[in-house]
Amino acid sequence: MGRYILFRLVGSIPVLMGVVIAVFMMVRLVPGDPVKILTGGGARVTQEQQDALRRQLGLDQPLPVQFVSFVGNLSRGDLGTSYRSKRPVSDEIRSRIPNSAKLAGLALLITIVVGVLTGVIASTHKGSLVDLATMFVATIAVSVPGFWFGLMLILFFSVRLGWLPVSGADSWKNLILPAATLGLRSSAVLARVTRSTMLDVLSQDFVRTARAKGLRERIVIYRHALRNALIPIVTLVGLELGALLTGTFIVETVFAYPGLGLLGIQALQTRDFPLIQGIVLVTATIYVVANLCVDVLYGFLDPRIRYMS
Amino acid sequence: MSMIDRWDSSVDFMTRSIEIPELSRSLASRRKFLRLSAAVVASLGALPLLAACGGEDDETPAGSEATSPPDVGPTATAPTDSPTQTPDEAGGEPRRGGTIVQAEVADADNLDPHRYYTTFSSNVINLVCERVIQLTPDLELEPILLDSIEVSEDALIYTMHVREGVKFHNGDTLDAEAIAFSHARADNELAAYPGQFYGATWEVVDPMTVNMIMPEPNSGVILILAFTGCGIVPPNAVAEMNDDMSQHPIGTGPFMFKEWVPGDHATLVAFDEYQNPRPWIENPGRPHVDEILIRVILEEQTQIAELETGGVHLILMPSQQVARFEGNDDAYLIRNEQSTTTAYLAPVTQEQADGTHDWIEPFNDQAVRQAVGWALNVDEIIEGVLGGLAVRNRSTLPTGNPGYSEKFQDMGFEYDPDRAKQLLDEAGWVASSGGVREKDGQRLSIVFWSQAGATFERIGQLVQNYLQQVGFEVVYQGIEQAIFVDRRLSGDCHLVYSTYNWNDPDIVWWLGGDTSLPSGHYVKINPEFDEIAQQGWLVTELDERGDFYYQASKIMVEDGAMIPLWNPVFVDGVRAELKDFKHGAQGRRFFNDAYLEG
Amino acid sequence: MSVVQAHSSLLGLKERESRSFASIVRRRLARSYHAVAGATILGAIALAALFAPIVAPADPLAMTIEDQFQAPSGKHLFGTDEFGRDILTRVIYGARYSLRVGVLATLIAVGGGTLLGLTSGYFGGWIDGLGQKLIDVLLAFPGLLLALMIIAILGTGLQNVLLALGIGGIPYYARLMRGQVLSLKEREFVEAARVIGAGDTRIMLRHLFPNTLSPLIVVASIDLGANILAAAALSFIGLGAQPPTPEWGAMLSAGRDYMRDQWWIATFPGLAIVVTVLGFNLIGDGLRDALDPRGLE
Repeated sequence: MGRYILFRLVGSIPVLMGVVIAVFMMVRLVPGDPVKILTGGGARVTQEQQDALRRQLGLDQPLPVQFVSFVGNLSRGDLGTSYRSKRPVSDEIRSRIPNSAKLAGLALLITIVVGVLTGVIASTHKGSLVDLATMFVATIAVSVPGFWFGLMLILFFSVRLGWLPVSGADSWKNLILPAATLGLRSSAVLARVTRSTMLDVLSQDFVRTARAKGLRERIVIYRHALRNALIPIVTLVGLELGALLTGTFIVETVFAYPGLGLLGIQALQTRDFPLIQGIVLVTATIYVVANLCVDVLYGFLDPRIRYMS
Repeated sequence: MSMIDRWDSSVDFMTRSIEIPELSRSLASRRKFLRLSAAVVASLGALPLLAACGGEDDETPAGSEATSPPDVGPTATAPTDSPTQTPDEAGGEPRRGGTIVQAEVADADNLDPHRYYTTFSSNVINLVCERVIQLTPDLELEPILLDSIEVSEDALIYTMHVREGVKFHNGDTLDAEAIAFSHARADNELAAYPGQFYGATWEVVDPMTVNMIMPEPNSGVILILAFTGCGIVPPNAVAEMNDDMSQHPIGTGPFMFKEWVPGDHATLVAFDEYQNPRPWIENPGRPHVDEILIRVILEEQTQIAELETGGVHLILMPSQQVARFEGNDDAYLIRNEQSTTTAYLAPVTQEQADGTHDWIEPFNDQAVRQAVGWALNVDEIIEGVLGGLAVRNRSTLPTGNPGYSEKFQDMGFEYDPDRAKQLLDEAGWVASSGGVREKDGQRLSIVFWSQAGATFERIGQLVQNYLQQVGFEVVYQGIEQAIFVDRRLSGDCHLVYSTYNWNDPDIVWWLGGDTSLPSGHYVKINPEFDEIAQQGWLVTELDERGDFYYQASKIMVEDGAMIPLWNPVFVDGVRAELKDFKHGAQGRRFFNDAYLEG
Repeated sequence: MSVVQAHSSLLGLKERESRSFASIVRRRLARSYHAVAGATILGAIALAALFAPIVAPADPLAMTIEDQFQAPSGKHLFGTDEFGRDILTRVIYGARYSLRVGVLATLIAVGGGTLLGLTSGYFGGWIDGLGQKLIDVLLAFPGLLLALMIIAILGTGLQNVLLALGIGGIPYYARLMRGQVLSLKEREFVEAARVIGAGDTRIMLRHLFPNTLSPLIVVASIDLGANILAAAALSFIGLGAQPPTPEWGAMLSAGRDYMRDQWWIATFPGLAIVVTVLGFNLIGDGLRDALDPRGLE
């Protein structure tokens, strides 16, 4: 197992290097002079001041030189300084990660619990009203724009019922609506996949054998059948992680929730390129690491995978 | 993002008198000075804050949800049915403690009083840092950090006598040195508006006296002293921060800076040692509330839900939401009726290959510029998009500007699409099959920009619609603020919708001359305009000044160099439990008397 | 985009060359409620888009301020918006833009992904090594992140949105395609073609590509809807279609300012999105069931 994990770890290094190159190039491709953007482009800023800033940012150097210093800084955890707040990008991002982790974590939990449970229930009641109703709701749920759903939740649960706070991150209550918004789509996708996988598994021989042995239905379903349906479910959860991570950009904007996504939207709006660069880099890294974890989880779930690689 | 920050006073300058005892006393002895000061006071806000802008400025875009309200109309009048307008009716002593929560649609850019650009910043800084003099809600000059200010007979030396016993938040004591230091810092090349004091220098006469020395008389400079961007800061603290206060402003104001989490919130706490010098504020000392929390909430609908549920006490109300809060028991509205912001359209000028300046085709033809003016149904935009929350204005000066008078309305354009079409016909742009006019095989096609934001984009779409009806082909884009400011003069667009917020009549000169403004090269294009507008700088009598600016304004507007549209009216939405919240001049928010009920 | 990957990995589809398979699929599709319902919905919407000038009761762009904010009525079935424009008309014309975003973005993703996956899988060796690295790097930017990056570079507007969404989808299709090709290229029919002397290009396009189509179609049909939703999300954060384009996402996003008092302004474009995405999902479901090799034997 250790070797398998190591193998996976090493495999993700070139990917991360590629991500670094891609992000570095991205910011240099943006039309317009970053110095102009940084200084606001006003006539007030003298040419000397602009040049000084250019030197300070290293923008007067050839690209390869810029890249070397970029990677050098990166290796020291230095992602540059936000144009806007004048603070280290790494500090800005670090201060937001706990919030986003909480939000994405709860959304993931909702996704897994709601998605798997409804999927299993629908599969064991195939063709029933419950099955039809949940699958209908799931199909609609993947068709609704997330920001709209979030605004509706605010209107209903906060404004109409007064149960939950509208926005911010003051208490755990602030997490519920954004996490529900974020988890809606993913749990719908997961419910559908769980259902169809479970239907496959339930029709297999070992399930029939288990039933024939007189095991209780609940044990047959959750111990035997579900365990065998886990691989596609875990695959999908790994994939939905990506949707959850970038879903935070929209959801955090709606709920004014101070996470990485909202920081990203503000950075885009103010063209704060060091910050955009840092957020993209960190988000991609989180995603790569998350997928690494999913891969490792596979190794536990299905020993064959370890040997295949 | 307007191009210009402004002091606004929307006072009728003809009726103004000086009501600051110290100031008037020292001035009254000399006849000549009286005239100067009359001009000064009348133009009160008139400090040409040169704003020029580069980045985002402290401007207040008309009715945009993307801006904050301040800087706008001075007199806040709440609806009579407002539950909180009069403290006495509310009954009882102001409750001490609590946190007032205020929402903004964007974050501050910088909290250094001398280096910020946006209104989102000035809303914070205004509560932390005070100026030597400020404007009352009635637009009187009021000494805040001074006992008095005197002006020499030749109008070149302004002597400021510092008020005793004023403390900075860090414990330092206010003295002449701090004022000289702060003003010089607000004027230096790192400041947001370098040179805004028109070449003034400062001389500390004794520990509590400082002279501001002008190279030549300038009737506008006194109001610069009242500008939020000229707040007084403690020199030692600035030195400790390596001349960078962007993260931590320190001043003498009623609230101390506590924390700024960029993109999320700023927190201010009551300053225990605060001593209020203003007669129009009841509370003599520390504010009643403990804290003010200024939250950034980008989404308008979320802000509104927060106001409805009491999570936020104060927002700038988007114009299309005003109606739903009329008669609401939980929240009331405060309108800043006397807006001093002007919204306008302007063809963009650009430097040509030979170094001259001109418009970009097709606007290099005067008839095409004028046709834009005649094509617009401005009243319909005001009613249809702004819900009537704007005052039609045909001239470059807002009605609240001290240089403004009725005659300014004899310039400008009416809605007359036939005239627009006729002008285009005569200019050789003839109607073709597709509805788009053509000349020499070229289509009458323009790119039109405003900044992004729901209200901006609604205005932009309507303008696009009117122009298309007279035969323009218009590509309209709402551009993100930072990019709009950066690129609107780059030649990527022909026409922009923008606003400025500036209260001296010399704004007319700035609009033509400030290269950061869309019509900013007009002085180079039109020498006659330049000459007349410049003469306005040399006189101190407001009537006379107003006259020069009237002529200059008329030249500019009738040429189609700038098409003024309206003065927006900004509206604050306030929670019912927030009592005695007041507006100062320019809609500045004052929380000294404010308290939270229950 | 993750939907794509999800389905591709779960489908487990293999190529079918037999004609009988095609006929089974056709029969299955016709019997599938999902597919029929989806096809009906999308057919109606596509027809409306195609014949918009004939079907729509008014001009989608003409503004009449006097008519603003009219509730749904016999005169304006879906009411009017803040500019007095007929919302039914705008929803009908909007189908053109929204379908275009969905279709073109998906085509870019499928096209780019196919090219990358096909060459990478077919040639193997260093080409595959490089291609796979490229795919892996692109896959490291989850969901909308790649699209946001591209829009940050290119600027807003419908063209850039569909380009960004398209490029963002490429790695998923590339991976799907590469996997298919790897399993197919050792098969007899590929060998046979090679023996006859067919060139690489011919083998890839004539023999490999058609046999990878089934999973591609299923995934793409669902992706079409996902791209329409993504365009709406981009409109919400101000990076989508520019006014007055009656793209549904832009209409929904602009209409949210009125959602409490003039509910119809946002509701109808919102419903149009939901119904269309639903239509694509239903077709996707139907196709997946119909193309499922299980139960054939």
